[in-house]
Parts: sequence; C-alpha cells; structure tokens
Amino acid sequence: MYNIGICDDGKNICASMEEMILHYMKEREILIEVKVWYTGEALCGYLQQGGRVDILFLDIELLHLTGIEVADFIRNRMENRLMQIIYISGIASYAQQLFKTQPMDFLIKPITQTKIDDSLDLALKLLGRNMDKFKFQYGRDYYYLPFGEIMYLVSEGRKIRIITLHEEKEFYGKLRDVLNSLPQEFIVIHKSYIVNREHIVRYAYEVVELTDGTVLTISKANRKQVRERLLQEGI
Amino acid sequence: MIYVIIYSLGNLFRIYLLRKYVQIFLGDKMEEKASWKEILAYGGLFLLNTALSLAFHQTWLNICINLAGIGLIVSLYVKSLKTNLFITFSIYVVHMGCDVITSFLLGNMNQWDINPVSSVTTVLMIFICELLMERMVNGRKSTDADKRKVFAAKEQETEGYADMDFSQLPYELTPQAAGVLILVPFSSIVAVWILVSLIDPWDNRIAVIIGCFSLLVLNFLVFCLYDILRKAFSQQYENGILRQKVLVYANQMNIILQNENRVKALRHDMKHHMNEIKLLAIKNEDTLIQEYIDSMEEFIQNPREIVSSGNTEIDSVVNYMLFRAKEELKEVTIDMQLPEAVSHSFDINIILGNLLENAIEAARETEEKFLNVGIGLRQGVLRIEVENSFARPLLAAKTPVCAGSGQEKVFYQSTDSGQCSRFLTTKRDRKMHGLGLDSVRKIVEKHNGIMEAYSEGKYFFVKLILYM
Repeated sequence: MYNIGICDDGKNICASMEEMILHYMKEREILIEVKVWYTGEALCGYLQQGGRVDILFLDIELLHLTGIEVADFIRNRMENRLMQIIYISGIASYAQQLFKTQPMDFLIKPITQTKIDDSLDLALKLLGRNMDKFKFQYGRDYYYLPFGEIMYLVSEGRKIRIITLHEEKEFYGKLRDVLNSLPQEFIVIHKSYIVNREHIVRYAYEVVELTDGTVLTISKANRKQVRERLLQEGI
Repeated sequence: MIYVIIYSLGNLFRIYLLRKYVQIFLGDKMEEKASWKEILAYGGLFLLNTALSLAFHQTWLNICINLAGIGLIVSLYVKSLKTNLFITFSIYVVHMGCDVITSFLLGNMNQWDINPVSSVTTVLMIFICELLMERMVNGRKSTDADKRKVFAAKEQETEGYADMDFSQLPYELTPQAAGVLILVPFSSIVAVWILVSLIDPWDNRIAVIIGCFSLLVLNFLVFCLYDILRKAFSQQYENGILRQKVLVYANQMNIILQNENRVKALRHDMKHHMNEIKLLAIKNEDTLIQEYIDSMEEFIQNPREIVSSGNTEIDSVVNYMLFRAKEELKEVTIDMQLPEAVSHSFDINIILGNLLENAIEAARETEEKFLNVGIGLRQGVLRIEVENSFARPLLAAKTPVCAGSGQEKVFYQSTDSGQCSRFLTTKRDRKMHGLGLDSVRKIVEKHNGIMEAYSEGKYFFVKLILYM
C-alpha cells in the first residue's frame, strides 16, 4: 500500500486531484491511500508525528509556509530522502532552491488525468526499486538493506563499506562482484566507489555531491563513461 | 664528423622552431605541451631530413623533403588543405630565404656543401624571424585582450554577464582567403629558386641577397595581413552574435510590454466581466460561464510568450527563436524546466541560438516541418535536446556522427564532405553556419560537456549536456 499526499491551498484542486488519483488506483489495481492538507503547517505536523507519505503532490505557492520550505523540512529536518515529491504550480517559473530539494517532477496547472498517471507511474517505479533489498553476509549474519537507502559503497582493502542513510555496514568482498547484484541506479565512479544515483544532488565533471553533503571524486578513467551515461539518459 | 654533428644540432633546433611557427599561425588552438604523436612526427621529420640532406646534396630533393615534411606536420593541426598550404609555404619561404641569404653573405662558394657556420647562422636567422613574428602577433593579442576585458566589464555592469568571453569563439580564415594568400609565399619560393639557379648568382651576390631580403619582408607583410584578416573575421562573427542579441532582447521587451497591456486591459474591464459572469450565473448557464472564463484566459495569453521560466536571458532567446519557428514550421513543441537563475547563461544562449537556428533552417525544407526542443536542469547537469524533421533521410540507421570530444572535430570541421555535414551546410551563408556549430562544440567542451548529433529516419537529433 502506498500513501499519497496532496498539499494545496485550493480546495477544489485538491478534490479533483484526489479523484484522479483514485481513478488511477482503480485502473491499475494498486492499493493507495490519499491524504489531503490545505496548509504546509498541517502536513509538517503530520510528518513530525511519524505519519508516512510515499508520494507527495506539493503546491509551490502555499499561503504561509511555502512549498519550498515544506520540501526543505522534509529533506533536511526529517531527513526523508526517499519521498517522491512532485511540485504543482500555476506558473512555469521555478526558484533555484526548488531544484535542490530533489523533486521528481513539476506539474503545471491545470492538472489532467494523463499528467497524474504519468507522474504516478514514474514515482511508483522509483519507489518499487527502492524497496528491493541488497543482501550480504558478515560473519555469520545475513543483512538486508533496501537499495534506496544505500548511498554509496567504498572498497577498503578486502572489505566493502556500505554507507546508507542511517548507518554504516561492512563486509568482505570485491566491488566488481557486488556491482552485478546492484540495480542500474548504481554507478561506478572510481575503482573504489559505487554510488547510488538517486542520492546524487549535483554532478560535476570531476566529482559528485551527495544528499548528505559528501563529495566523492570521479576518477579520471571513469569521467568520460559517467558523462556518456548522463548524455544517454535524456531529459 | 664534427660538421655533421653541428649540422644535425642546427637542424634539430630548426625543427623545434617549426613548431613555434605553427603555433604562431594557429594561436591558442595548440596545446603548450607536445603530445607523443607530435613528438613522433617531429622526430621522424628530423631524422629523415638530416639523413637525406647529408646523403644527397640535391637542392630540389631538399626543397621537396622540407615542403612535404612541414606540410605533414601542419596537417596534424589543420584540416583544410588550403590553409595548410598557406602555412606550409609561409614557413618554408622563411627557411629558404634565410638559407640563401646566409650562404651568399658568408661567401660559401659551393653552397650545398655542409658548412657549419652557414647552417648555424641560417638557424639563428630563422629564430630571429620567428621571434619577430611572435612579437607582432602577441603585441596585437594583448591589446585585444585588454579591449575585451573592458568590454566584458562594461557588459557585466549593465547586464550581469560574468562569463561573457568572446575569445572562446572560433576564428579561422575562409578557405577562399587562404587560397589567395597561398600565392604570395609560393611565388616567393619560386622567385628565390629562379634567383639562385637561373641568374649567375656569384656575379650578382648583392642583388640576390637584397632580392631574398625583400621577399622575406613581403612575406612578413602577408603574414600581418593574414593575422588582420583572421581578427576581422572573428569580429564579424562577434558582431553577428551581438546583433542577434539585440533582436532577441527587443523581442522580449515587446513580450513584456504586451503582457502588461493585456493585464491592464483586462483589469480595466474587470467590472464588466464580473457583471457578465454574475448574470450568467443567475441564469444558471454553466457552459456559458466556462466559455466566458476560457475566452478571458485566452485573451491574457500572449502568443509570443512561449516559455516563461523566469530566467530572462534564456527566455528571451527561446521565445525569439521559437516564435520564428512557429511562423515557419507546422509543429513546434518545447519542454523547458529551468530554475530562474542559472550560471553561464551567455554560453547557453549561444548554444541555443545556434542549435535552434540550424534546426529551424533544416525543418523548413521538409514536409513535416517539425521541431521539438527539450531543456532541463537536473542534479547540476544541463541537458539540451533538439529534434527536427530532416529533408535528407540518407542515414537511415542510427549513426552517431560524433560521440566524445575527439570525434566531433571531424564532424564539424570537414564541412565540405560527408553526408551529415552536407545536411549541416545547406545554408547559403556557409561559413557563419559552420562557425555556429563550432562555437557550440567549443562551449560544450569548455564546460566539460559532451554532445552528439545523429539522424534517425526522417529526424535529426542534437543532444548535449553541460556541467553547471
């Protein structure tokens, strides 16, 4: 089951979007619960009390707390990097800060059923991938980590260190062997780094910057390869 | 033996000077450090040249080896044959002139004997000529750079273009101009040859020396002319860009004014509109109310304002180009997701201006008249994709024309041959066109980006990414 949130100060818009999402749910036969908030404060309060939201349609022009501030709260205060945020707006110009909150998409009003369907398709695909788990063994214990939570893997001698959103783990192995069991979001940027692209906020030619501020070097040998991949990806 | 060694050393220095000469001609295009490929080429030329001229004392053989060698070396850097010939002849005429002058000055009876003094003097003279030429070019360059700095500073004050840098733009002589210029060094070489071989040189020693000297001066002047022409050409290109920028801004100003007028008009009639809607509401005419609101919405839409990302500079160019596209083409679509402020907007504008210009030009000649533009910024990477219908479906399969910075050069510089380049040069103004794409490539490379262009069936695609 997925929790989908709508946060917009226009009651009619919320109602029509809710209807479209429920329509999507019936069509695809997916279990979805829709929640609606009319202010950013209400949404933040819900999240603070431990409420779960997987996909959020967030209006940029909210009354008091703006959409950017809400997204900033989600990403930086709640440290929730996995929620798929889709901005909705009446105008097509976006402030610079919006792009720093890792939005999945932007929708311009009027919102249509196709726009909702397309963005939900993508969001569910991304969420589904993040739920799959990476399995490894350390000592006698087996560990399972959702791929979405893994930020990057570092090879140190005979060990591999896994840095996730919340913790660090290590096990014996070689990066080359691990790569095969990772989904395609993981890219090799260095002979001792594999990074989850979902957690990259900024690419430069020589480095990548991750959501938690870590900066990793792309080795000379891998720069062209990474660049080629970015080109092939499309907009 | 000692003569041979001195001769070889002199020759070695001469080959080194050769590289300096090529550097003068090509300006910033060359890397300061030589690559292994270059070292190999120069080394090969040195060995061949020294060995052959020591083995056979033949004037014509010497001339041929030298010309061919220089030509081969120049072809490492220059793709156009005419430019290559011009540079080769210019360099050789200096070598030949210096050679002849020293041998006659030093009174070497049998000039093709190896004479260490004369060979060393020749090399020194070549060196002096090289220094003079370098001085000339650098002197002009530094004043140019100063002017540009002042210009850029002014621009920055008024419009906030921090990265306005015209020196990144390409400038190269047209092959036609180079073709005419070839004649001067070429005929000088012939003249020196005639002076030395046909007239009895020993009787007219002074005449030969003066003749050679004046030919050298003449060639210096031609070189100056070459440099000036090159600068003028780049200036012409800069002016083209500026002219387009002015048009683009005028268009954006218009859009803003029109928008304002529309809003004013709507506000003025607001009371009237409200009354209308109220009346319709009283009558419960729901569909009529919807229609009324739709027409109000339509009224406020400005057909000239195609994108409004809030980024004035980029909006201006895209609005200008796409308005033109909509006038000339049937189907124009754009998807643009950009923040209000992006860095390098000057560079991005040059890229967009050139790519859209080319795409519109090509699509206009097709049945479909289709153009699709995508611009997006995600994770610090700017992506631009331009897709247009394409009149010559010669390349049926997906054939990447260039991927990676190495191959693009072939693609853009060989504008006279190859199917894709034929597509790219259907424009009347051939030269400006080629330059446009060349500057796109340069800017992409400057930001460590990458671009590719290919055709797939009836469509032509250009995709590129830049790191912001």
